[in-house]
Amino acid sequence: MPKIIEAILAVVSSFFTLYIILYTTYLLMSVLIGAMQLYTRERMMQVRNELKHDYYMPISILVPAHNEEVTIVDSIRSLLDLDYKLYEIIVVDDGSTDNTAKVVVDTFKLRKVDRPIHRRVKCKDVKAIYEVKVGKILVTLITKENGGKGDALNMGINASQYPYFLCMDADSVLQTDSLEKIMQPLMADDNIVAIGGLIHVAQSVERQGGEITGYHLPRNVIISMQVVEYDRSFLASRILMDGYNGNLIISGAFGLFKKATVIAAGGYDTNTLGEDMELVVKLHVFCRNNNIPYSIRYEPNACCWSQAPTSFGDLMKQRRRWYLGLVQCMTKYRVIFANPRFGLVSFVSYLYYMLFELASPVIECIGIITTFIAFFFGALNGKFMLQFLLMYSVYGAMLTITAFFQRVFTQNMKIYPMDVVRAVFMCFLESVFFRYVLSFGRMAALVGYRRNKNNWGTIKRVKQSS
Amino acid sequence: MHLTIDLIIYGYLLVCVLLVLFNVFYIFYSQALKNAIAKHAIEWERAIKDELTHIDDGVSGEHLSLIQKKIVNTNAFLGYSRAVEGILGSSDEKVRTGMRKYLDGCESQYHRIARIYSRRDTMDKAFAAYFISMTTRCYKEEESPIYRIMMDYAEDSSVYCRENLLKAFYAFGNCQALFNFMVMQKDLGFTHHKKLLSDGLMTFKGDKEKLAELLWDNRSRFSVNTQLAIIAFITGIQADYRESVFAELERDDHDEETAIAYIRYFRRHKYEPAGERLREIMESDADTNIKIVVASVLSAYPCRESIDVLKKSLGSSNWYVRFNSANSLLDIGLSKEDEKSILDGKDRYARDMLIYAMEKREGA
Repeated sequence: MPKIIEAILAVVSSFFTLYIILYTTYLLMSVLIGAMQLYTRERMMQVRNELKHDYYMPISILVPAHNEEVTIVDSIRSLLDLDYKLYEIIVVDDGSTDNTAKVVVDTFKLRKVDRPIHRRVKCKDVKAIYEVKVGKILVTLITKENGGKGDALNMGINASQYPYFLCMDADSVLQTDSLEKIMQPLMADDNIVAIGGLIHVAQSVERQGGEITGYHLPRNVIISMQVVEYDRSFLASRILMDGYNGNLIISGAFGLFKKATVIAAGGYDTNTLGEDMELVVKLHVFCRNNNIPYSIRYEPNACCWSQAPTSFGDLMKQRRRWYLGLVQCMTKYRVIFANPRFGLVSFVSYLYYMLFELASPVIECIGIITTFIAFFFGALNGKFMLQFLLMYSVYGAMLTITAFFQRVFTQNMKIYPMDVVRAVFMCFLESVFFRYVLSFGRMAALVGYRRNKNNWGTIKRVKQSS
Repeated sequence: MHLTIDLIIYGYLLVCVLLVLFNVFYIFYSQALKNAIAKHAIEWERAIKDELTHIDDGVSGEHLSLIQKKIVNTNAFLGYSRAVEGILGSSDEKVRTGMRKYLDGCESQYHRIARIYSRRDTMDKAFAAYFISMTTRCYKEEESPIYRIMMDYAEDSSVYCRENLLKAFYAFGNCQALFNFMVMQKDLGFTHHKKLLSDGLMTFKGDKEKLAELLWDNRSRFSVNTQLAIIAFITGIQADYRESVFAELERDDHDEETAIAYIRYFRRHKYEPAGERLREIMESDADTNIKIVVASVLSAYPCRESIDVLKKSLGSSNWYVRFNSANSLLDIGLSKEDEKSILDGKDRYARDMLIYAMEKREGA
């Protein structure tokens, strides 16, 4: 074997050893700290260590909707059932080409109003505004020109009347106590500017309104694997980053924000595919640049049930969008990289996303090419490689199993024995197969970046069980 | 090289297996704990109900000894607390009366337990404070050793512990004890959310007017955050602080939030000189956030002058000033001429806002 190839293989293998050690250490730490935190929180609830209050601050719930005629009525119905004293619902129909607005107007008997909108953040023009009061809750529907999710959320911010707003997806359902739970951290810390909640896969539960009545792991393998993947992500990684105020993402499906700070920072970016991550990173940068004391928190007791893509094609579209959003955000805020002013946000969170999310398709590509080169020159130890891959996958699966059962246990979910078996199997399948498929999806997204950087893509919606 | 990598992989796998085992162990342990607490609760409920059958003779010494012996353990304490809470929530008035006698009979035992828990970690201390807040009688003017014990809890405490301690002090009903506790919190450098504090003060079991007087007279000893809670508290009660709040409103050295809190006071407590001052503020170059609140509060001062000021502010460049002015005008009641002058006027923003506010009311 030529010396140069030998040297390249040595460098690459050292790099990968270090890379995998770093990644596995991160996974281990996140699951371990996540587990400790969840158990501590559970004990805290038991011994009344909570800021339970009769009345918290009022909230504006913003529901951006684009072609959501199938799910929007159910979503609004579930929002009207929330256990919270004062809130309003603002649905923003972002230039839908289906009957989203019509079904909302007809079902809830909204009437057209001539309401002026206070434009504090940039958004496209209003077409019409409708309102109705359902009990004490004001429901507003705004139809506007299509401008993307960020633009629709900006419109919602402009139309909202309360100091905190909650963004969510039109196909998501909030647990009845989720507003109370997501507001509780604010009572402990006045400097909070954003709080993210826990996202679960909606297809894994049976519900009555916002109350969960049963839990089953879906038969659809694509959905099941997302169930276990969400658990690892939301119950481990985000809790770890929350520990040092370092979360860079609050899912667009469920997040609470302080309106004044978001407006001061310029609202949502309307030219990105990852408007949720962009806003959170922007808040970090804005608050640090302006010396504003702030915290961005994660509250795993506040739950939202969001529809996961049901087909492989839809899943790939979603992940492509997530990945391109990540690329756009990471490059836009590259100022954070290795910048001591951002502390652990720079040296742990940003670095994590850069190394293990953003660069992973490139690194994986290098890995595959190197494997071929090594094979070609007879330097590949096939047995060791397979053993290594298997061990790594088993390791990942075990951590996912830990996160999954932690969630089931801490949320007092009744799970059937058959679901236990399936969950364990799914954790292995996710680790051995699904993770690599997603890596491929990210790689494909990177290749098609120029072509797809402004394209959201459409995902098929199905009516939720209720 | 392979050996090193092997070692690393096996090392990590071992840690991972240990983590899974820890989780499995914890799940079983935690489930067993939950069952034990539920069992404690059932046993305590039975024991308390037995005591209630002869409560007029007082709580038996045997029962008091049992409390002292058992509830030093937090899980037993949790079970006991659940049993007490369950019986206190009974719909039977007779049971609740008996329970009050029972709790009074256990008072000294609870104080002893509280002293023991003062040496525990902050989570346990918070729970003990919660229990005391739930079971204590209202002492009003009376002195009690529990005040000192609870004050000791505050040092090295979490926000949850301090909230439960405040709940206990609200329940004690002793103005001076609560005041001392609030001063101590301030001295220790703790701040409590103003909303928790102001809403909590409203639940004070003792003489609220006396407490308001004590807090208002000493407000300068507290942080701005606590001062805001005090203003919200005096706004919520009946006592008359109009003159002294007005004197504060006249000063212009307050920060925005405090100034807004004073303005809000005059929505509930009408005071004509304040109405005049609010109209002056509306016509001055005061901060927009202050004008937003004034535009709303002026609805409580219905007169020609207020209408004129609000009509002018309908043309404000700020959406919220216009919105609140339109609503205040409608609350006051616009004459046909006033309405016509706005709707036929040149200011499109004023007209749109008034139409919107009128439509909103028609739809409500």
